[in-house]
Amino acid sequence: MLTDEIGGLEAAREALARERLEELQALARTYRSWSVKELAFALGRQPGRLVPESGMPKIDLVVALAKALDWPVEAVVDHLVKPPSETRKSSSPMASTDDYASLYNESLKKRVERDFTEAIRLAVRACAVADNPTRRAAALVVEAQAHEAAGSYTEAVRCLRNASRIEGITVDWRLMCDANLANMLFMQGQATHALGIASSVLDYAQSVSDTAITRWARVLASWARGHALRSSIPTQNHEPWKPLARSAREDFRVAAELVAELHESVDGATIYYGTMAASIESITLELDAMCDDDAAEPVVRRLLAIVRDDGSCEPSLGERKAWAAVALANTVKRFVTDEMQRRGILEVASATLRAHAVATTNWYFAHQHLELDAERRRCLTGNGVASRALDAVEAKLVAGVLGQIPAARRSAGEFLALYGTREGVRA
Amino acid sequence: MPIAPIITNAPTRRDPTNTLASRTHGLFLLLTATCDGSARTASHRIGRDPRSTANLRDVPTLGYIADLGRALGMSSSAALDVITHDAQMPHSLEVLRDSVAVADIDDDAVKLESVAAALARLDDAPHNFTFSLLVLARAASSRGESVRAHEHLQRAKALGLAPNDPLVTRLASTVEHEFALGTPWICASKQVLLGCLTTTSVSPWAGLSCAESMRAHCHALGVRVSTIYAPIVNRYNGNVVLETLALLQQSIDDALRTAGSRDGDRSTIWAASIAGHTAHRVLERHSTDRAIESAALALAVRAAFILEEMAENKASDAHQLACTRRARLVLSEWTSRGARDELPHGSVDEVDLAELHAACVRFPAARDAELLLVIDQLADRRRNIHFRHFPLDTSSVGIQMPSLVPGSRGGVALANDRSESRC
Repeated sequence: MLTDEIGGLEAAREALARERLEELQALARTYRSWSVKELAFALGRQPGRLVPESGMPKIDLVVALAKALDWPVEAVVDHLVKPPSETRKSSSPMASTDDYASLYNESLKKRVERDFTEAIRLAVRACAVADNPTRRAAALVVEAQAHEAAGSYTEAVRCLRNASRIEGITVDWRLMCDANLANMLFMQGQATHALGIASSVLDYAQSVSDTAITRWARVLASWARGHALRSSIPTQNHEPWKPLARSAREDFRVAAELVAELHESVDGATIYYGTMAASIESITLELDAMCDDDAAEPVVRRLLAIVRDDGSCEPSLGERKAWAAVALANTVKRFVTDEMQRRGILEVASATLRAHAVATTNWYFAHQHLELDAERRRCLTGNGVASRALDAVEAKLVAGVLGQIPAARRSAGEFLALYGTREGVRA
Repeated sequence: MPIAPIITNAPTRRDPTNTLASRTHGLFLLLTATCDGSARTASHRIGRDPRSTANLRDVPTLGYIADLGRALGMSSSAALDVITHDAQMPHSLEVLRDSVAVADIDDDAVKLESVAAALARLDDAPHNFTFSLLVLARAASSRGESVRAHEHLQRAKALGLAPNDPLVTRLASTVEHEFALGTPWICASKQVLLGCLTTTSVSPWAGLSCAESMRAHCHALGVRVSTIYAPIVNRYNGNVVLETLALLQQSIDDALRTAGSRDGDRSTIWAASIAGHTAHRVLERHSTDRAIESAALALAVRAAFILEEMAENKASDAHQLACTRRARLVLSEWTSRGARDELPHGSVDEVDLAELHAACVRFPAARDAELLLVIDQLADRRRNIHFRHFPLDTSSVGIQMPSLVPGSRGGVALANDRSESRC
């Protein structure tokens, strides 16, 4: 019975793919003004075999179709395999304002408790019972944050894009959606887009009334823009980039000030901004070193102290340490010339990032760790030492980074070559 | 029979089979590593026979990749992107600048976007980063999203663009001009036109030896007409309008003389496109000045014929440019007809519908234009063509950056702001 059911599902998937493949091919013909023969030529197939019998195309056909349509490959795949548009359940007649508020707040609570699946489920329900566009957008923002915390960046971006598209939401929440989107895009390595959106939010926020939501949107936008600028500064020949470093530092300064204000204004409530405030301090140190070369040595010492919890056994904020590790790695690459010292500190930074990434499924930090690790592996290969096989945890980090950070895919070939060894594989 | 244009780097079954198969195998090995090195467990997780996964030689199907991606916690599209991602993108600044120059004159948004991403990754100099923002602005402009393009341009200027760089000047001026002429399916706003009233100047006659200078000249003429004859301007000099329209006709004639060569085709397409667009902007005013009306109508009709002819020539390497600019003109024409209340009552011609359909494929953002919604309703009576509910959700392309459009100040969510970081 179960086999029949699975077979039925497979058949339905193939039928859907066949139908959509035909649809996309028709679209490509319209777009390029091609005949069937011309399309077949471009797709590298016989005119009578444009759609495979199984309905499921080979990937070279998908890639060629994407090129014919001038679409990213992802868009074509999404269209081919995505289930028919599922309209979310409309709110039940019994749903009320109280339901929305309790679902929303419960979702936040579950996220803090790290029960992300439940947090997402509750946010989806809150979105379904929302009785106005702003609430719907707010629920989508909460859902996106839960997805992000669960390590599903693609879903988080989808939610935020949907929220931004909702018409009729209040300005402050619109800014909030865009600021969150800018932050997620930065995490995914799309610095230019993040910079554009964050700048829009900051420009626009000046002309709207000051609310807690607007302020938080400004914090996030300043944070995202600061990071977009910071991450664009290379580790070699950084001298001409000083003005950009100063701009980034100014953004972080603004974010820190706003965070301090928010912290004061809502004192007593269960709202915490401590993590961000502490993380800004670490990141600003990297930019201090950029702006003033004499500060490099004390900055490295300070960042090392943060990463090592000041020699204490008491655990401190993990995210603060991870950001300090990012700043430490960049500063060391820029200013430390002694190879042994440099490698040693980079190892510390890499280990810190790995620990935080494994604990929190934060793919940004995992990506930073993998970049550092790949550098180390390249050195080892150069010395004639074979790269070691991946353990399961690290393999999951590679898969997560490749899956959730599109910017990492430009190194996909290298990642797979470095890590996809046959060592340790048993049949 | 014309031969289909060969798509650069389009994969064929012969060439990258090995790469695709070996990358797929690399991904399978990654899955194996997550299963503590057991290939058998990995095969079971994707529901495949271990023997078939061990020796993958042929190009895999999308279903296989989808299953592999799911087992690794990736979406199908991400898994395929990992396998097919082209790592051969040129990284030299000179090569990228050349690509930008070509893509700019070809109005190739896709190319511009991919080069913008590559530029942003260059570590050579800070202004590359802002230059990438400018390239992104130009890409948005060629997608017909002039407002978003203008926003990017302002941001790039604020961050600091390289001074005295001819390519920067060229891109910035194209974005500005296209912004002033307005989105093909939306007229330029009052504020924009008022801003242009004080800044427009026609570039001196430069001999128009290349497509870029022809485009710049026509743009300046187009913007001049659009501003002095804008609906917001009550008093205008009719002679200047007529004279400028005549100059646009003259530009088309000049361009046509060079048609047939690579540069000449592009000059002709740009001249006809800008002239046609300008003519429709003039017609939108629906004036009683018959001389201006007939001059504009003649220009619009001529431009439409030229672009139609250029778009039919599939052998030309400017074919895509012709198709894109023609699609814009079609949308512009329908917008103008809508403004003049000249939409057909009762039904829409089959050919017109197909033309609009093709234009919407190129400019998906036009689907939401008010005019198309009206046509949508008219079309519904005869056949099942929908513009708003287009069969494809092109938003999944994910290339559109949301622009900031403030919503109304409706209700405020009861939600408390507890957007805390994860830790």
